[in-house]
Amino acid sequence: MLKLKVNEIEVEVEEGLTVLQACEKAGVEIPRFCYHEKLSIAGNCRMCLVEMEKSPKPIASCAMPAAEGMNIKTNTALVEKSS
Amino acid sequence: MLKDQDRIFQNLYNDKGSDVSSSQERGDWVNTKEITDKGRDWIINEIKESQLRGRGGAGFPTGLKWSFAPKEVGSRPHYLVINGDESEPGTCKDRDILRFEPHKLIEGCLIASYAVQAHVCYIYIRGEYFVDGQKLQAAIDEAYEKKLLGKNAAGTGWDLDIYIHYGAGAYICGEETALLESLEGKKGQPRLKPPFPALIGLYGCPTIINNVETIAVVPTILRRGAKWFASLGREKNTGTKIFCISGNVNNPCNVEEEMSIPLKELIEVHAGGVIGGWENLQAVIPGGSSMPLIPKERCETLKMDFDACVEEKSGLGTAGIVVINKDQDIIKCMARIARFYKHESCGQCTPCREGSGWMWRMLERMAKGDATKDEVDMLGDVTNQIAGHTICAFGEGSSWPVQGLLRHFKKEIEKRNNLDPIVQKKNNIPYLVDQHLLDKKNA
Amino acid sequence: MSLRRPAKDQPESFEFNASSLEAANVILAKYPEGKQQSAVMALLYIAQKQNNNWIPLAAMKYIAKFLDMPYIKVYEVATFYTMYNLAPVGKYFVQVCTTTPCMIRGANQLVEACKEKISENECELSNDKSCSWMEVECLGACVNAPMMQINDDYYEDLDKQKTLDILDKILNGETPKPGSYRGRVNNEPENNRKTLMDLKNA
Repeated sequence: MLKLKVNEIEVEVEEGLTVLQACEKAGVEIPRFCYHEKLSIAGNCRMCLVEMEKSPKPIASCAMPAAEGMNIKTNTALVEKSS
Repeated sequence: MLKDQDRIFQNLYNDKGSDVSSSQERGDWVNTKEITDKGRDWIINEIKESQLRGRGGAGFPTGLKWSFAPKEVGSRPHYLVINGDESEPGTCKDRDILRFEPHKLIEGCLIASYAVQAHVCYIYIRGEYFVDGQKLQAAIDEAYEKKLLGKNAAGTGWDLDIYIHYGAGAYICGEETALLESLEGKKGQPRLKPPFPALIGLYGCPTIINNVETIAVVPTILRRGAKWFASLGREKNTGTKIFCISGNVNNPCNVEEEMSIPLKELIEVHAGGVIGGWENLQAVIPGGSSMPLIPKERCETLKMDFDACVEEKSGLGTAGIVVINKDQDIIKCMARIARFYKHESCGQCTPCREGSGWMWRMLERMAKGDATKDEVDMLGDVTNQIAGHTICAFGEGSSWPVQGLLRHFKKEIEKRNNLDPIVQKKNNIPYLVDQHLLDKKNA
Repeated sequence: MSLRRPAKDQPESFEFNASSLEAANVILAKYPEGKQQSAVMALLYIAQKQNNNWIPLAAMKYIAKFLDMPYIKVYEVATFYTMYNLAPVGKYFVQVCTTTPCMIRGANQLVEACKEKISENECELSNDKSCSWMEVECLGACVNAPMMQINDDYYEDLDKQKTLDILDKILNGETPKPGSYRGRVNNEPENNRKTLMDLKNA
């Protein structure tokens, strides 16, 4: 199990899940166009961008695997402007 | 000016011929075995110490990149891929290496393959360079004949096969993961990272991708020592670089010079000065079209290296210097670059696919003076929505030149475009129709 | 993105001739076993060369079978890359670079010359169907601007008159000499060379 923070809420998810799925688990819904759980990951609509600590650019949450100790923010001005 | 004996590409202008024997006279293939005998770690360390940075645009430290390759070869073979998809407007350095110094590249491939433990190397050349690719192929065939490639290449005990793969006119295939897709026989659309190609690359195997110029300088660095290379230029921006000086200069040319050389010296000494004199200079694009332009007053003191260009909010990129003098309409020049990016966007990510077209159409109208006052800021907003929000760096590449224009020539745009917003004037401008696509029937 | 459509009139069938087949087998040997899809780009070139400079849909179907891959994947590749001509372009295909470095050195004059000699619009065959022209993006010979490419060869350092002369020659069925048309050697600074002088004199 991996521990990460989404908008300061701590969640635990199993390995192999994406950031988007971890956010759902924390009760944060991420808007998306191209992501669908039954399809392969395309990562090209760029609707699901979120901010990750230590990353200068926003990341596509549907394509990024969740990792231990991540600090995700989905409600900042940068995220709202970018998606 | 750099001394002639410190120039790596002695045959840049093809004074001597590019076959094996004349290359050997210039020092290629002389003691390749001695170099590889010193071992992988020595080679990678030496490249690290030389502070060689990738010559393809991003300037990533080459030694560091090589050290990302897995230390042991597992069940999957390693690959070395050479990026010769030189399509950045303003850049034509790799072409000269392919046709005039092919053995520097081939020997570099052997050493790099040995260092990252690859037995197969693919050289990806843009399709338009077919004739130059044929020259490289002839050099490769000659190397096979002389036993410099193949089994026990050049007596080093390492087996290496080199194959050429031609692209077919897609700028985006210069992006490393798009290049891999193209090499696998698919559309050249960049992959999501992570995973990075050093671990999962070509055919899912560990792959190291380097620019032609980066690989071609490696043998000389190892022969003359990292200290020699690091003594040229300045800290973290070491060595020599082929500069391509094009545009409004009297003698456009390719020239190999030391890093950190002043831009003014490059233009005045090697390229014969700006057409109409230095005072007639308007702006310079320092590193290929994707780097923001730099206006004349900053060009006086600019040093051409990675860090100094970044301080000017631009970048060295591929060192393709495009000089634009005051006879040119700067907005039109940038509109043409925006059209280039619109044409070359791979169409994968929404912000870039749509945004590159928006930028082109807005700039085209701004060049004519058909835009409204508020659109200038809107254009800046569009560029910010593209840069940093896409899978690959094309998003930055397409929006930086426009941002550079807005940063330095905003007054000029505003002077030309002072229409009131469309809503008030009821001005019917068909900005949603993509004229460029409608025009061509058979394209 | 560029929009590309296949031509309306398509031939019924396509097959590699003996020399194309031989070339295709050489290409296939370059790639690891089971990865023959990598050869699709090179095979499309071979088909284009065999079929008078353009690729019909039948050739894409043939290549798909040849490489044991879905037809749509070949179609994707053929329509994505701009160097595959999906409609007839004539024996001589002229590509004029008009991106900024060429544009500021007068590439529009080359376009004018093409309009005068070949056809009013780009991608349109000339009267004798032997030639067509097109504006393209950067061809990577920026220090030799303005320049154009005819089939595989680069013609550099042009102006309007020189372009007209070259086009006259190709319309007469001759192949003009490629390279710089201002008499300079490769990429050296014309009459202003300051480096590697001892090699030049030697």
